[in-house]
Amino acid sequence: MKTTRVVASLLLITLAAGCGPAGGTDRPVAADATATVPRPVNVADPAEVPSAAAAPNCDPRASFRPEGPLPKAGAMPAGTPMARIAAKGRLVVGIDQNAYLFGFRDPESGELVGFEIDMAREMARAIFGDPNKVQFRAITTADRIPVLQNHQVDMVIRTMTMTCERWQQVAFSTEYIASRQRLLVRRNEGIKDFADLANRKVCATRGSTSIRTIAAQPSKPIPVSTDSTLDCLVLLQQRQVDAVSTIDILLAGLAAQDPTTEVIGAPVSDEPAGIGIPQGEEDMVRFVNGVLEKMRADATWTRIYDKWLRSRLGAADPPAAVYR
Amino acid sequence: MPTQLAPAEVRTAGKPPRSTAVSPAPKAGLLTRARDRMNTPRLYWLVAIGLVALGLLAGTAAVAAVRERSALIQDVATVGGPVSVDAQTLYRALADADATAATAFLARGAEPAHLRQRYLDDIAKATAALTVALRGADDADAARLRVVADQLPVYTGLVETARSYQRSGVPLGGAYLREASALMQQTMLPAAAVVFDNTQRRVAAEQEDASGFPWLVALLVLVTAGALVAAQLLVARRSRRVFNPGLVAASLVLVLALLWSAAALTVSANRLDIGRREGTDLVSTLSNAGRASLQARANESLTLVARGSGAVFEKSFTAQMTELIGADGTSGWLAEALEQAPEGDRQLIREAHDEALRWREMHGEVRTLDDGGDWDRAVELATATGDDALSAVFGRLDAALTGALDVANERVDRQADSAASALRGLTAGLVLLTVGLVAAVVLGFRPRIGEYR
Repeated sequence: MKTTRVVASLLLITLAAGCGPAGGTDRPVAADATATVPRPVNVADPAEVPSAAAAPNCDPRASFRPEGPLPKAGAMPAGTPMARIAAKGRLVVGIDQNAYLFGFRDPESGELVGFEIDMAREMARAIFGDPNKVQFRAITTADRIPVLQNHQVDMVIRTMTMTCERWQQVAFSTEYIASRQRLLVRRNEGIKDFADLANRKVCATRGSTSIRTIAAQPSKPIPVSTDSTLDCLVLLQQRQVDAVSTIDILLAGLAAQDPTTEVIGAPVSDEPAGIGIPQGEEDMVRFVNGVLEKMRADATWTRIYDKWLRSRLGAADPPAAVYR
Repeated sequence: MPTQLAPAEVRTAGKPPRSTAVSPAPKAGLLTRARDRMNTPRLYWLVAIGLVALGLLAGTAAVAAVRERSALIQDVATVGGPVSVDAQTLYRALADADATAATAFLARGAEPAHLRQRYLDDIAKATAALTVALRGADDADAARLRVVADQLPVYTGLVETARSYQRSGVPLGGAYLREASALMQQTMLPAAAVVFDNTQRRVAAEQEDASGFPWLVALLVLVTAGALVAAQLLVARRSRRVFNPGLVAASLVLVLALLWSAAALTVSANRLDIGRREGTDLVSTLSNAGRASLQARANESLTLVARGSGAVFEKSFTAQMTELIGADGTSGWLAEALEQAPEGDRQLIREAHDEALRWREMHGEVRTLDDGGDWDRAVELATATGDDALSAVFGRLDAALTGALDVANERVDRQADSAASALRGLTAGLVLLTVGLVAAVVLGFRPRIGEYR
């Protein structure tokens, strides 16, 4: 009995050795093939976290108070930036073409539409009396400040967060929409907040304040950056990141494109969005703030908000203006 | 010749225990003594055998060399050339799919039917070319082709995802298309490019191998010729007859074989050389030009698809345009193709070059419009149809390149065919001539040897 067992086990060992990988030839085996996941172009993983320059202390919401009554459309005071724009015949506005609900192409008409596009048209209406005398210029997140500094646009309406640091490079209008940085995740995966994202990848656009906020979270998520928030949604759908984190109003636009995702988590930042205007054009800032005052008062703001955002973000009042 | 054999035999006899005792021949006198000792018929025998052996050796070597050449030429025509065409098809179909998908995406609403069809055809061509290319590839190339094979379904999946999001009108579609294109341009095309380059190199190497100078055969023929002359001098001295008809005939046969082979091999090598320089090399250059222009077209469209965040695509466009015609418009692939191409082909390449210059100019207008914020007019300019439209300019560039490529591919084929026909009959001829040479030697010596019986 015992000998047979020994013989049998010896036989088994010999057989097993014979069947093993022979001589280390690594001929690829079809059954071993695995998928490799593609990536959007220009992804940085982990992202480079923009250094926080020593930010001066200020109230980022405080802008310049409008002076006197709003000039009539078509009659801009001489010597002001508005008069120059009026003479040029069109208002050039830097916008986002890829932000669903804010600035995007209507697939049927191909026209630019959205909350921020309507804001820009109101500005054109105030200067020319014609909401169509506006030229849109699609710009990236990272381009927002340079195009203002180089005067390539008259203003930027592109969910631009008002910060003390940016106030040193450009000027802002009063806040036109409130936003807070939150999270977009795949539904039903148990992620409820930043605390659940320790050592997991969280996506935002390159050079945005969102990247810095993600990196600063105590749970230490890994920030991943892309060229556009849409690329972040692609990465989320392909399970290459576990969350997208940027301001909630943009996240709502992403969630609207994919119903299997949801916006969750406590706000981790307070990010008032203001209209960016080249530094030194104080007259222009005061004029834009005057227009915003008027829009708050005559419910134009609410009409535009309801048209684009109410169904996604709930009813809201226009943010109150803060002046220096 | 045989006189040299004798001392060699003596020397290889190893230790000379007896020979040293019997005849302690001084080294210098060995040759003369050996010749003196040998009687004339024996010497004739040895010379005849030596000549026959040399003739057979030279003949066999020549026949083998010609057969090897024919086989290589045959391979260029029936294997290398067609495999190269398959690799070109794969390379081009992938680049074309990328450019077509991006261009179709820019159209308002659903994409134009002809662009959709072209994209689908490209994918079909790429798949077919892949299966064929995998069959003939070595291990390293097979691994590269597997990368393409692995990613092709992923790529088409991304394109279809982009397409359905685009149809339902959400901006996410553009992001999927950009991802698809990145996969194509950064992973699939580079792999296909290496495989393509390798196939081209293999064909060029075969063409070179089949057109080199046959050193061994030349040496053997030279030695045989020398031996024949030496044998004639020897026979003339010993028999006191100036000419031996057999040896004279053998010499004539050798001269005939030499002339025929030299002529046939030179013509064949010339044809192959033309096939390589104006065929294979030109095909490589034109294929790269085609790939660069298709990638540039894809990036031009993607810059617009990205709607403001397309700086990275514009950078690629500029790089690919520089690859195609150089920063100054006078270098790059097309300039290289112009240099390699024979005069007859240059017209098409010049046409392609002119269209490429026009395209770069028009692209500048598109960029000015888009950078100035007028995306609508930029897209209009990029997608307009009509003879002067950008897409027509690109279409003509592409057509000119494809036309030039067809001509060059055909040249590889035709030159291989005519290289093969130059060698036709040479093998059989050499066999017959070798037999003739041997027979002439034997017939020439037989009466001389008979005189001593």
